[in-house]
Amino acid sequence: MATATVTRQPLFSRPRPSHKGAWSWITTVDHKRIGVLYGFTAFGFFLIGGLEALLIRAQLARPNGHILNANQYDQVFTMHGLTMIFLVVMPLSAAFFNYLIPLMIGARDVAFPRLNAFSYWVFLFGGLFLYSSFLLGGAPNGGWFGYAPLSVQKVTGSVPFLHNMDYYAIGLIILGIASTVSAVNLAVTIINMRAPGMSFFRMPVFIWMAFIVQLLLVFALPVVTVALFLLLFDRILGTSFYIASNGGDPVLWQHLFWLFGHPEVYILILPAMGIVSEILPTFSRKPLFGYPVVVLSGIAIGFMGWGVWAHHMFATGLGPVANSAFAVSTMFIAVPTGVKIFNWIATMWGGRLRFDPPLLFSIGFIAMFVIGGLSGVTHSIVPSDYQQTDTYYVVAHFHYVLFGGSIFGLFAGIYYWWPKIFGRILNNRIGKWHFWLMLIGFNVTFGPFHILGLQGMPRRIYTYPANMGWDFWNMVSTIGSFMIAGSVLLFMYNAWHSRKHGEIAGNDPWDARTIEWMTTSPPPEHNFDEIPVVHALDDFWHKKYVEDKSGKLVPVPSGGATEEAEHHPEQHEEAHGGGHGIHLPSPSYMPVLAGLGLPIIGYGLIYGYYICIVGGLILLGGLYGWAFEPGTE
Amino acid sequence: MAAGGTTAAKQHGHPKERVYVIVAVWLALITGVEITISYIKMPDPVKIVALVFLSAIKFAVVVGYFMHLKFDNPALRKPFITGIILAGCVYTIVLLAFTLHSNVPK
Amino acid sequence: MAQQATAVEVHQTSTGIENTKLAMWVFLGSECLLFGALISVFLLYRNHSLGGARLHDVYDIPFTSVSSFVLLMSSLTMVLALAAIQRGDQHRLRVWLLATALLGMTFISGQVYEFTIFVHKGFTVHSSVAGASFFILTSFHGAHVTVGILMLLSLFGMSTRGMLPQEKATAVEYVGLYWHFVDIVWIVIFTLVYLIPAPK
Repeated sequence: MATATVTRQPLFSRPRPSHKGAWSWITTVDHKRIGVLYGFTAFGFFLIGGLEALLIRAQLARPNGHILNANQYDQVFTMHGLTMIFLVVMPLSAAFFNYLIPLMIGARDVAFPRLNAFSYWVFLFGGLFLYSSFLLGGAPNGGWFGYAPLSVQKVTGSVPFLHNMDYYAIGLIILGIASTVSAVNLAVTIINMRAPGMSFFRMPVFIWMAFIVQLLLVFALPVVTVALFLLLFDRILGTSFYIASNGGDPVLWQHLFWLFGHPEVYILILPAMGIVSEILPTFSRKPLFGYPVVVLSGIAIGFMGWGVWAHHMFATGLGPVANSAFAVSTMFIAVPTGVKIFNWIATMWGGRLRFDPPLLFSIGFIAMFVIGGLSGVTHSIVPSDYQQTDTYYVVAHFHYVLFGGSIFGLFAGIYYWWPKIFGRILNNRIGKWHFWLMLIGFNVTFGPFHILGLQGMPRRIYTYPANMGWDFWNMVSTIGSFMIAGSVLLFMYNAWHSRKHGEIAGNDPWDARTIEWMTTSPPPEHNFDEIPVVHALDDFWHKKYVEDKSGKLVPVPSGGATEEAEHHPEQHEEAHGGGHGIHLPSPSYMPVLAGLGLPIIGYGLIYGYYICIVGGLILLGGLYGWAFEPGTE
Repeated sequence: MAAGGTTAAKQHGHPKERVYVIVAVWLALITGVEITISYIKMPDPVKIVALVFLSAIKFAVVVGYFMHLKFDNPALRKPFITGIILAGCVYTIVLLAFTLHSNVPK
Repeated sequence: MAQQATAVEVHQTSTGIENTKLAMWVFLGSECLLFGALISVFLLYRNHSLGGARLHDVYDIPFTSVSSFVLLMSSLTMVLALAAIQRGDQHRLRVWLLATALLGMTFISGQVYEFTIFVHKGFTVHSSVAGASFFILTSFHGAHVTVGILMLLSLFGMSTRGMLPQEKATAVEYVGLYWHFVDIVWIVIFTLVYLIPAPK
């Protein structure tokens, strides 16, 4: 395996392949384990972000609230936004991508398994770096969008904020590295590692959406990276990129940030759209209506998403020509999204619906996302947006699309794929309670924001006076937020309870259509005993059923390829894929080691450049160790 | 659609080393022309167009020959060309937004 | 470098393109957005000198031209190094790898020298946002060149220890792609920053 001439002694010995113990998780390069790590870490951050939300709602329940002062509020709402976007929705999507992409395209792992592990560790370290700021002088407090020149300031009045936004800039750069690296990895995986016969237009919609997301990440993240570096230089080098009084321009920050930020919102929603596109056909027992159109709409959204960014900047004085152009492009981008909605509804129409939690959350996703999309379209009309911008109306809009949309879609995916990942089905009844409590709680929390916004309540304020007429709906919203919290607790109970009491899932508990359901639940380390050959879209479904002369579905007698896995149970426990001659990539210390260098460099930029040298050496050491160890031993 | 072919250690159609040297000579010559143009008095728009055009040629030549994109699988061009076109479009719009209706005094 | 398949295993990919090669091109596509942003910021702010020193007052086109020529020629030596390893010629490989690294180091030295002159003449990262834009753009480029030099020297080291046989030519190819990219970014920078007429 190593070159014929030289066998180098590694600096320290390679971890022994093992499935037990913390070290096996720390050195894993198995995409399934990495997906589980992403999922659990993201859920942990979801709970923290949720607590931050409860703090916000507690503070705003009544006028002149005393729970948080202005300084604390600014940190809590900033971190709530950063957490939910960068530490919850994106990594939860990454969890699904990591776990499912190789399984759904018939591969044994991703293109670069160690790079995959590296992405996870850098994500974890980036999140910890960001949160360490609470203990080291204060968390970022300039909003998740970090508008200049506020984000450049180190003092407000007489209150010093020496490093809060340094953590913002550096933390997001570190997280951006994790996502960029992962995006390259997954893009190459999807392009290059599909099973024989799986052409692009035989890929599941989830894989298409995942693919578009990777491309969006790859092209959008560099833009915000530059924006963040310029912010960092303004802060630590004293440059004036964003300072108007010294020749700079704060609007530059907004252009660069939203050039990333708008594709980012599609990065946040497309995974959920992909998930829902898989669940609806399975639970309607009908193929997805208009598969090519759904795919092309996704591609269209990917392209058009680059042409609308300045709709976040209508009130910055771009002028009537720019405003009009971006208004029109924003209206246009509603079209492919609307097309998808119609296709999803048509999929369910006339189907034999099974109202289990995956379907419930998918329907909830569609309904809530439509509401959020409609408020979005009202934003596209510039004079109307002048009224809405910087009010709670906008907060309503993005929570409907990001929570009602992304989070509901991700929960749908959690219920759907939980049996595949953990081998047990989540309890149906508790799942339904979770859904209804969450749906009602969500609407009670965020529905009133539309009203509050149109009544003039500004966003990003830590309290409000008593005589504005905002008291009632704020209190209602706060009650709703605790309902959401209750629903999340229900889910957590369901997850814990299912460990011992959940119904054991076979390979294919839902009678699904895509090839990940052909293998065991959970899959063996090598995913498939034999890589399937794909003959059609929804290939697994066609292996199971044919249509008779009257169009009725008739099960194929042999039961399809599921039996293959069931005939060889004894070969599923072996570490390296057993006697199939399958070489799986070996575990490695290098990804976590190299990843550790990055936050240390980050701390060095804040506290002393000599610390950067330490971090740099660790990073280099990890990278060289990585380069010189073979991928597979 | 069967899987694509196995990757080969050598690809077909490697330019000989001679070709590389000739390409390098052309690159040097074009650079010389660019530097000369930068010194000659001519209307600014003409100068800018000429310089950008010449550097675009150098760019394409390095990408096509030295980076071998001309001879490789066409699929490899897509990510790179997408990046260039995307960057060109969005940054042009940003710069236009600043120059056509700028609120900040120079 | 030697991350995925070793020489013995042959990878079947859906497109017939090696994974690492595809990954490198996707990465280079993303780098276009990175340098595009830095170049745009420079173009936006090139007039914002606030009455202080301006780039066209301090630069030295002949000197930078020589630097540019040096970097351009390093692309030639890079591709000759690749041709050498593809033929199995380890000696030539090392000669051309070292030449590329040395030309790269010459370029960096030229940049450092230039910058010292600029700073001496009052054009600094702090003198104006025009200065800041210039130095940030060229420093990001310089950092990329430096990473490239480290990779070239690593390949050289591997070759001297017999760890870079003909079967591993792709390692040189991929580092080459990165190196050429860094060269073409400079082609763009040299034109847009140095050669086009100074702002009035």
